[in-house]
Amino acid sequence: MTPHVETTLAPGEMITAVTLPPPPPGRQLYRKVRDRASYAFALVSVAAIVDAASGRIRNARIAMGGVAPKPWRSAEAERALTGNPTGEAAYAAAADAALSNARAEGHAAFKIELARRTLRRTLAETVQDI
Amino acid sequence: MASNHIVQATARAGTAALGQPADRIDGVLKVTGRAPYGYEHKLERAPAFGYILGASIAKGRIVAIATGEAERAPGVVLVMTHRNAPNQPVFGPPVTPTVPEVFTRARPVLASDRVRYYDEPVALVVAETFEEARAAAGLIQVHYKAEPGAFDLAAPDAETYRPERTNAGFPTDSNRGDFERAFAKAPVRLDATYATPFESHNPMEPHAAIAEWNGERLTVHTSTQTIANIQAGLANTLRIPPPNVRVISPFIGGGFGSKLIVHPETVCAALAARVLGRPVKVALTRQQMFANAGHRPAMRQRIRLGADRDGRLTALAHEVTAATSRFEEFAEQSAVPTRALYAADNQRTSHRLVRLDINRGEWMRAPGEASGQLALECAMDELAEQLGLDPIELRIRNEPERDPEHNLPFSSRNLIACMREGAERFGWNERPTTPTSRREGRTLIGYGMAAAIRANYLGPGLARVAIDAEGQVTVQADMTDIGTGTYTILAQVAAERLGVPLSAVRVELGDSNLPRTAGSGGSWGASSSGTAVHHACLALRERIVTAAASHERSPLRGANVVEAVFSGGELRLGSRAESLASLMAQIAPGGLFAEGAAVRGETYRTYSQHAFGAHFAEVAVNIDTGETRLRRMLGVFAAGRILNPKTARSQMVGGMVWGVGAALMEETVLDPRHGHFVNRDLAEYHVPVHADIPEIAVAFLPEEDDKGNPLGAKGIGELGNCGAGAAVANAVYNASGVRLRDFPLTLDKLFPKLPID
Repeated sequence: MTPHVETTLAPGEMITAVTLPPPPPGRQLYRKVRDRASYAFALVSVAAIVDAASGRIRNARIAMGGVAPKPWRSAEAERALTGNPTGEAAYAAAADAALSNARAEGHAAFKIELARRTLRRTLAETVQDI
Repeated sequence: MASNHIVQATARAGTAALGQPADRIDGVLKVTGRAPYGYEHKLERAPAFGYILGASIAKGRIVAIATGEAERAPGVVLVMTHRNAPNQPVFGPPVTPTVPEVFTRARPVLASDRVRYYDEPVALVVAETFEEARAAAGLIQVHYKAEPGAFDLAAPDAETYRPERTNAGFPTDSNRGDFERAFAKAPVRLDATYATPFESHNPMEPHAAIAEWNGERLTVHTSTQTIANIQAGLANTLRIPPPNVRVISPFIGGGFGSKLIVHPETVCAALAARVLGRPVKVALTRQQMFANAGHRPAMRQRIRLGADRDGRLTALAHEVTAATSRFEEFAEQSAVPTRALYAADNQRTSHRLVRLDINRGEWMRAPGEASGQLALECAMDELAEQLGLDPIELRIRNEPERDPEHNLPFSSRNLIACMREGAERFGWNERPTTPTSRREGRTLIGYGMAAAIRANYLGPGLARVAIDAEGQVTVQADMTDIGTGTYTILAQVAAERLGVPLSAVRVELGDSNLPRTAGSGGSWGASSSGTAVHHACLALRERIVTAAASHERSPLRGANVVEAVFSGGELRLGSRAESLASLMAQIAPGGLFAEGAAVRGETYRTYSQHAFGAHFAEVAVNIDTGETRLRRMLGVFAAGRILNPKTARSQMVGGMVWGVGAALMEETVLDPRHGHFVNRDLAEYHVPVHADIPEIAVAFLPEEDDKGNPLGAKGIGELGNCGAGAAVANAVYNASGVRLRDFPLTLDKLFPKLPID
């Protein structure tokens, strides 16, 4: 482990390339819901990668922003989608699964329903072009 | 003594006279970084840098303040607190002072161990660099005894009272006929209460000042809208004669009403400079601006409308309850414009205040109209729907022939023409006929409209215009250009009146050594200073003509003075003409000058003077999330003679964007537990960004009005902000079927009520 080597740019050095792991198969969509069109934190955001063929979801990765102190990966939503037919029923089930244990207080309470709707809608949009 | 800042158009500017869309003559200076703003002026002596430490409680007392470590920190030359600050007058009583007094009263800083609002200055650190001052401020230890404070307008135990007068000296209440009876009898009734939040001006340039003493004389470079107010405010605070205070403010990066009085950074700079015997500069940080540079107060407004089935208003009540600072009253006149807008035989308006432990509210672009019209124009929209009437038709049916409050004739009023013109340009007839009826994918589309009204004022003042032996014209006044285009407008007035090209005119502004004006405020700047320049030009013309006709060396000697024409850089007397430059060189090589004044005449009192307009907006509401985005907007205005269509359009667009912000996103959140503004930076205080504003169209209807001033102009700086927000809010209703009355209309309030899909 040599993070002091990998992450420290020495004088005269320049980053010339960034290598990322290959993206998982499927269509990717990022939806950010905010109070104005730009330059604002997400009230709620959804990152979705859905791999589907012939009307069936093979794999899904779901993460949400604005709902926790860190990006929230939802294994519950992914389980609710994987192996199931595409369509509103699956997206609604995934959204419910993702948010069923969510807790919010006071002025943040609206985020639970907002996240549910945003996730449902984002899944529908992600899949529609597959 | 001449100012150091002379603004002149380039030779390319041509003969842009009044009414032409001339480019800003200060534009090149600004975009090439040669226009110094308050904090940026270079002095002969290097200044020290001040950094303000603000209180971390909202109300209470400083029990102890340990400054030793800060004093010993690197670079620090002074730490000033209430214990060692120079003696200043005690701050006066909280009641609304008379109109002149509020602008000139002493405003002491670091003068007491009492804390009156969160982030009120409790110490000033002065060091050789800004960073050293800021670092040392973090070393100051303050112990407070906090007291419970009032921070909630809606609290059940709120201290509500009736002010003696509103801001700008209007009567607190008005009563015509018998509202209660008429409302009870009205066949159609609306009773709606609208809530608007605190808002912050957020001019791009923060409040700043550089203070330098020379014996008992103080020079301040700062950013202000009204030079005379800063001069008086500082003189009163520092207990020196006003002529001892020179104020210089040639370029201002926005004011919007937050720069009408002296603020803590300027007083701090002056006090420290006096103690140190060297110049000191202080600027508020963006975060400090929120508590220290004023705000529009939060308020709720109850609107009651009673109408017959044809939509004629028989009863209208507009009752305002707003937050005010406990230690200095500010009663925004939100219901005052209502008194002049619609005919209703039985009308009542009132303003009440709730004391909170916050800083004083201040005039924020269209104080009164911005908040009041937001409520009233939404209420009219709700009433129109109840009646099944086109909102435009409802307003047409309630158009007064005379000002209902004062029973005076309007100098000119073209609200109906604006609404009709706007309706046609906007395609108002194609609006969705019922809410939620128009869908585009996942969005609901809606249209909304609102009326605009803004009072037209004249601020008395002077100007001097001179012409030299080369035919160069110089305009001088202490007037300010806060980004409105004043330099250009005044150059255009002089160019037109003296018949010279724009490039022959130099403009000197923003210096207390120059003739006194009423500054920039109340949208009166261009009209008022322009009128003074106009009269100065007329007086100068007389001098030139008299000298030209009589001077022994004049090429026009003996010419017929009855027909004097100034045009194309020439003076024509009868059939003879001579270029002004050549004329001046021969008859007055030392130059000629004249002064002119803007004064309120008879017509100021005998006519009700306002500019009017109509706003139209189209929005898209996301059916899943409630996100609302503007799709297009149109404002049609009748505002007298437009002196410069280019700068005027910018003013209207700016005002309309303010309306979008007020409707959809702007709010300074006050924490009810601790009394601090929570979202005090531009990441969290949301003004519309470029991506929020698509097409905005502006149109001016030609309007002649000779009752206000010889230019025929009306104030337009704030008109764009009057009613604009209501057009957007009404469009949100038309799109979504959700009527929200709690501004801003953020999605958390909207989406739970949207039809599920």
